[in-house]
Amino acid sequence: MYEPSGRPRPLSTQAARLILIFLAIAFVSTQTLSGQALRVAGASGLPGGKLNCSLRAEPKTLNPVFAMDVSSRAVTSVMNADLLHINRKTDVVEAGLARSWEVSRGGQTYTLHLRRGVRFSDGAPFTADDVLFSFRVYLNPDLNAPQRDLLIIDGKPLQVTKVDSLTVRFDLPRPYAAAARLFDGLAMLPSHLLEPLEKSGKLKDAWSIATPPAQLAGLGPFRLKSYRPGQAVILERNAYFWKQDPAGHALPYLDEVDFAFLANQDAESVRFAAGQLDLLARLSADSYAVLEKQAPQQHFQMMDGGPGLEFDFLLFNLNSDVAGRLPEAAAAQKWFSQSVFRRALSLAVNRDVLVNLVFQNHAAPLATPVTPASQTWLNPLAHPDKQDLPQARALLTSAGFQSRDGALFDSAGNRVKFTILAPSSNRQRSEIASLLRRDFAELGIDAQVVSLEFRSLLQRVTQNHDYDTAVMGLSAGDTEPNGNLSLWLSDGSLHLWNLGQKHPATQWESEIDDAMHRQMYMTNMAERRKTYFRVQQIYREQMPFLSLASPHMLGAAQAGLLGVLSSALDPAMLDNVAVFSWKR
Amino acid sequence: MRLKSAASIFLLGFAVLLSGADFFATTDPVAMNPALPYLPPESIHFRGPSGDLRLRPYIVRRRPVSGQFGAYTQQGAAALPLHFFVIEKQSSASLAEGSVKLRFCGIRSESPGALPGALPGDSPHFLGTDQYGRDVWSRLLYGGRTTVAIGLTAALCASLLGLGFGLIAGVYGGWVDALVMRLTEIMISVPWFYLLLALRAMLPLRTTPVAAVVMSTGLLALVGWARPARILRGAVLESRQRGYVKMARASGASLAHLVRWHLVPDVTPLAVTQFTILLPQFIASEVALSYFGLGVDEPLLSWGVLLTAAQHLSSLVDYPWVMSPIWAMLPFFLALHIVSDSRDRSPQLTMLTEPRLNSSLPLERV
Amino acid sequence: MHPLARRLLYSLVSLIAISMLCFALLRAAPGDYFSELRLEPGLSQKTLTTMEEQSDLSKPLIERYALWCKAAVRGDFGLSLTYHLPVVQLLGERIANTLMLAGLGLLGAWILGLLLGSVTGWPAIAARAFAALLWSIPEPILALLLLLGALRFHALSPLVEISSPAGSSWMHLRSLAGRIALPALAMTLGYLPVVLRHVQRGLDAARRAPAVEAARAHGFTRRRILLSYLLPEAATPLISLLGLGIGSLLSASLFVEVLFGWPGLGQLLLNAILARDTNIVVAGVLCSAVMLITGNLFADLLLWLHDPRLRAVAR
Repeated sequence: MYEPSGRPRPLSTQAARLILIFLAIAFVSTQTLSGQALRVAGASGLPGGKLNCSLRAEPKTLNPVFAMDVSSRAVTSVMNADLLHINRKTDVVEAGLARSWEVSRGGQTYTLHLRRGVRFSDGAPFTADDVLFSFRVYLNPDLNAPQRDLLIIDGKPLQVTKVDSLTVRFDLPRPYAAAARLFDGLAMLPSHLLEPLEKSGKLKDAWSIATPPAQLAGLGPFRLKSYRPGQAVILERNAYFWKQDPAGHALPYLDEVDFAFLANQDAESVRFAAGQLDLLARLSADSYAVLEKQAPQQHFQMMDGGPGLEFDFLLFNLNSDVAGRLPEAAAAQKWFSQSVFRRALSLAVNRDVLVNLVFQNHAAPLATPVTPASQTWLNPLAHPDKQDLPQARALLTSAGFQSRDGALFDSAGNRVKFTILAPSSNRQRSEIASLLRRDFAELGIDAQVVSLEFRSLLQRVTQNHDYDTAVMGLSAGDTEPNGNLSLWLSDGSLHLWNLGQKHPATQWESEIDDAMHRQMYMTNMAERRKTYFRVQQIYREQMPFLSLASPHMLGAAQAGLLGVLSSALDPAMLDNVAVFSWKR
Repeated sequence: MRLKSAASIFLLGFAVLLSGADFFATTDPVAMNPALPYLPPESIHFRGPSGDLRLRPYIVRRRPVSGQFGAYTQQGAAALPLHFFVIEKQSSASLAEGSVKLRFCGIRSESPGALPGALPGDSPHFLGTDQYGRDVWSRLLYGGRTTVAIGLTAALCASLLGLGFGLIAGVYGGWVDALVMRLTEIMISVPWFYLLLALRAMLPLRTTPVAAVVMSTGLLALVGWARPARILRGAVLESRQRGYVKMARASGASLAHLVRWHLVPDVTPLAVTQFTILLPQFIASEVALSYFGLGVDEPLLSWGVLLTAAQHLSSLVDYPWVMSPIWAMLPFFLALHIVSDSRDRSPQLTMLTEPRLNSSLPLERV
Repeated sequence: MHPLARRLLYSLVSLIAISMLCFALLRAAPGDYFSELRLEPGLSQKTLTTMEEQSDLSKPLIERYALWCKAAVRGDFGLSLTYHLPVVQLLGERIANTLMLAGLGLLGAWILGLLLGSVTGWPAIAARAFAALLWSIPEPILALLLLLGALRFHALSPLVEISSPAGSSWMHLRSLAGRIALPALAMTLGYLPVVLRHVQRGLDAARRAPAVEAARAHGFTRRRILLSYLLPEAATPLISLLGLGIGSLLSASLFVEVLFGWPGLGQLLLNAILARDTNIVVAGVLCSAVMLITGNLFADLLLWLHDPRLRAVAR
C-alpha cells in the first residue's frame, strides 16, 4: 500500500494488508469501506433538491478526455469518477473506484482492486476492461489527450494489464514518487459507448455539447439530463452512483445540478444575492467583498479557502534567442541577466500593499512559486521579501548601477528603463503592473506599463519573445512538486523566462533540472522534501522571476446548503457535490 | 435661446476645466496612496463645527478603520484647511517627471492633524479616491482631457470622411455609388478588432502614450465613417431632387458650385447630428478599446480607463463615486446636443421657399 | 440587367471580399487558437506541436482560404476548433435567439424614439436629457443596473429567471416572454438615443419646410401635420438608419447577451474572437454582413417606395 507520509512499506500478506486497510481508514477517518459501495463518513443529509451553479463560459466539450478549460472540467468532474482520489481536505490519496491498491516491486507496480457491482450511469457494469480502454485512450499518441504527458514516466508510458475482471496492474518504467496521485482526475470511460467511436476514429469529436444525453455515461454522482445551447447544462442524479452515506442511503442527495452560463461575474453575484444561484466559486476579491457585506443579513456562507495553487509573478525575458534579433529586449536583458538586479527588484516590491490593494487582503505574499496551498512542500526558510529600498539600492550599487537625480543608470551610463506587459482583460494583473511601476520608480527605474490583449501577450511571451517583463499568473497542476515540473525543468513548456532550451542555459538551471528529476523517483518523503527545498533555495538565490502573490480561493454558498468545501485542486468547490444537501 | 446660451457657457467652462487640468486637478492623477483606498468624497466646509463662518474653508479627513479594507470612520477625523494656489512637487512616478505644478488648491503637509500616514503630495479628495487611493477628481480632469480630445478629433474626422464619401456617392451615383456603398458594407461588417490587434503587435512596445492615443483616434475615425456616409448619401440623394438644385443645374451651375452652395449646406445639419451621435459612441468605444489593450495606457488616463476600472458591481453598490465620468458626461452630452440643435437653423435652410417638385420630370444626374 | 439582380451580384462580391479580409485579418492578429494551451502545465511542447499540425492552422493562408471556399459553396462552414462541432450547427442554434432579442430591442427603440422625438417644448428638453443620460452610462453598466433593479423587486424576478421551467409549450412561451423582456429593454435603451437624436433633428428641420408651414397655415391638426407632413419630410435619413440598424443587430446585442446570459450569437462570437476560433468568426461575420446587406436593400427599397422621384431615376 502506498503510504504518502513515508511510513515503512507494508507486508504483502493478505492479512497484514487487511489490517493496514483498517489502519488507513482510522487515519483518514473521512471514509469507511463496507461491502462494495463506498461509505462516506460524516455525510448525513436529506435527499432531494436542486443546486443552481454558474459557469463563466460555456463548456467546450463534455468529453473528460479533452476537457481543458475550467468550465468543461467543472462539468465533467461531476459526471465522472477516478480510480483513486486525492482527499481535498487532507491532500492524501484515497480509494475511489478502486477499493484498495497495493504497491510492489519497490514502487514500480501498482495493483488496483476495483469495487464490485459498480455501474455506469446508463446501468452498464464497470469492469477492468473499461479501465484498460480508458488508459488506452489516454495514452494514444494520435489523440493527444492532455493527460498523456503525465502518464509518461522517464520517456516511457506506463503499462496497464488486466489481472482479472476486477483487478488491474499498472507497471511503471521506474519507481515514481507521486504515482498514486496520477490516478486522481483520470475519468474512467465506458468502453461499451466509446470503443466503437474509437475504432472508427471519431473519438476526438465524441461527447460534444451537442451529444444527446442517452449517448453519454459516466461514473460520477450526476449524469447529463439536457443541454441548452448557450444557456445551461442540466445534470440529474445518477441512480447507479457507488457511494453511500454511513446510514446506507445512496448518494448523491441532490436530485439535480444546473450550470447556467453567465459570462459576467457581476451578473453572477447579483443573481446569487437574489437567491437564483446557490453556489459561487472562483470569486474575485471585489465580488467577495460585495457579498460579504450582505452576508450577515442574508446568511450567506462566505468561504475563503486560503491561497490556491495560482501564483502571480513578474516575468523577466531571459530568452537566449533575443540577442541580435530584438535590440530593445536585448538591452533590457543586460540588466535582467544579473541575479543581483533581479533580487534588488524583488526587494523593491511592496507585496503587502499589493495584497492589500489588489486582492483586498484575500491573497498571500509569495517567496517562491510554491504557494502555501502546498504546505508540506513549502520551504520554511523562504520568506516573502519585505520592501527594503535601502538594501535594494545597496545591491544595485554593488552591481555597478548609479543613481543620478533620482534616476538609475547602469555602469555603461544607460538609463534603466523597461516595459511591463499586462493582460488588459485581467484587471488585477494590470493593477499589479501599475503597483510595480510605482515601486520600481522608487529605485529610479522608469518602467512603462503596456496593456495587451491576452493572446497578443501570450504570443510575445511564448513565441516571439519580444518583451521586457510581463505580469502573469499560472496555476500549478498539483499541490506536490510534480505539479510545477514544466515550470522548473529547463526544457519545460512553462520555463517561460527562457523557453526552448536544449541544454540548461546556466549552472543553477541545470542544478534545478537535476534535483527535479531526482525527486520524481524518490520514494523517501523526507529526502524528497529536502530536495524540493533545495530547488526553492536556488530559486531564492537566482530569482529568475518575481513571485508576488497567490490569490485565495474565494467562494460563497447559500445558507441552507450543507457540505460545501473549498479546495485548491480542481474542481474548486464541487469535489464533494455528492454529499451536498439542503437544510430543511 | 437662453437655454442654448447656458449650454454654450457650460461647454466653455467644461473646456477650460479640462484643458487646465494641470491647474484644476488637486494632485497627480496616477499617484497612489495605499493608506486611503476608496475614501468617500470630502465636501468643502465653510462653517466650523459650532456654525461659525471660517475664512479658510476646510475638509474633514476621515480615518481608516484598521484591518478593514475601504472602511472609514468620523472618529478622530481631522479638519484640514485648504490652501489656494499651492505649488506641488511631482514625485518621480508621476506624469511629468520632477516638474513643479501649480494647483488651484491643496493641503499643506505641515497642517496640524494631517494623517500620520499622509504622503507629502497629499491633497483634498473632493470626489473621493479609487481602489488604489488615487484622487478621483484629478483623474476625472486628466482623463476627460484625453477622452474629449480623442472623441472630438475622431468624431470630426469620421463625420468629415462620411460627408465626403456620402457626397461622392450621392453626387456621382451609378458605379461610384455602388462602389462606395459596397465599401461601407465591408467597413461595417469586417471585424476591425483584428486589424487593431495586428497593428498594436507591429508597433514597437515602447511607443509613447501619445502615439498610442493618436493611433486609437485614427482607427476610430477610419472605422467610424461608414455609417454617417450611408446616412448622408441618402440625404444627398434627396437634396439632389430639390427644385432649387435642379434649377441651378438647369441654369448651368458647375458641379463644384452645386456641391458648395446647395448640397453641402443641405446635408450639413445632418452631418452635425452625425457628429453629436458619433462623439458619445466613440467615447464608449474607447472603453472597449482599453478593455482589449488598445486604448490609453498609464501614465495617460481617459474616461475609458476610469470606467473600465469602475465597471464593477462593488463600485455600483459600495463606491459610486468612482463612476464619476458618467456624471461628468451626462451634462456634457446634454449641452452638446442643445448647442448642436441650434446649428440646424442655418440661413440656407430657412431661406428655402421652394415648392415641392412635380415628380413627373425625369431626373438627370446632377 | 435588372437592378435587383445587379444589386445581388454586388452583394455577393461584398461577401467574398469580407470573407477574404476576415481570413487575412485573423492571420495578421497576434496569437492563435493554441496560445492559451501553451500555459497548460500538463501539456508538453511535443503534444502541442502535433495538435497544431493536425489542425488546419499550419497550412498556408491561401490554401486554407481555398479549402474554406470549396466547402462553403456546399454550405459547410467548417468545424469549430473549440467545440469540435460544425459551425453551421453552433450558429443555427443561437441565431434565432439573437434575431428575436435584437429585433424586439430595435422595434422598441424605434417606437419610443418616434414617440419621444415628436414631442415639442419642455418635454423635448426632458427627452434630450434622457438621451444624454443613456449616452453617458456605458451599456454594461446600464444592463447591470436593470438587472439589479429587477432583482430587487420580487414582482419582477420572473423577468430574469435563469432557465425556463420544463412544461407545456404555453408555459414555455410565457417564460420566454418573461425572460426576453429585460434584455430587450436593455437593448432598446442602448439604441434609443441614436434613433431619438435622428428623429429630433429630422423633425426640427422638417418643421421649417414650406410644405409644413403651409399645412400649419391651413390649420391642420398637429397630429395630421406630424403624420402626413413632418414624418415624410424627415424620412430619408431615418430610413437609411433603419437599414443600418438591421445590419448591426448582431453586434448590438453582445453586451446584453453576456450580462443577461441570453443564449444568442453574441457570446459565442465574442469568445470565438478572443480564442481566435477562425471558422466561427468568419461565419459569424458573414451572417452579420448578410444582415447588413439585407437591411440596406430593405432601406433602399423603402426609400424607393417613399420617394417617387427615385423611381423615376430607376426608369
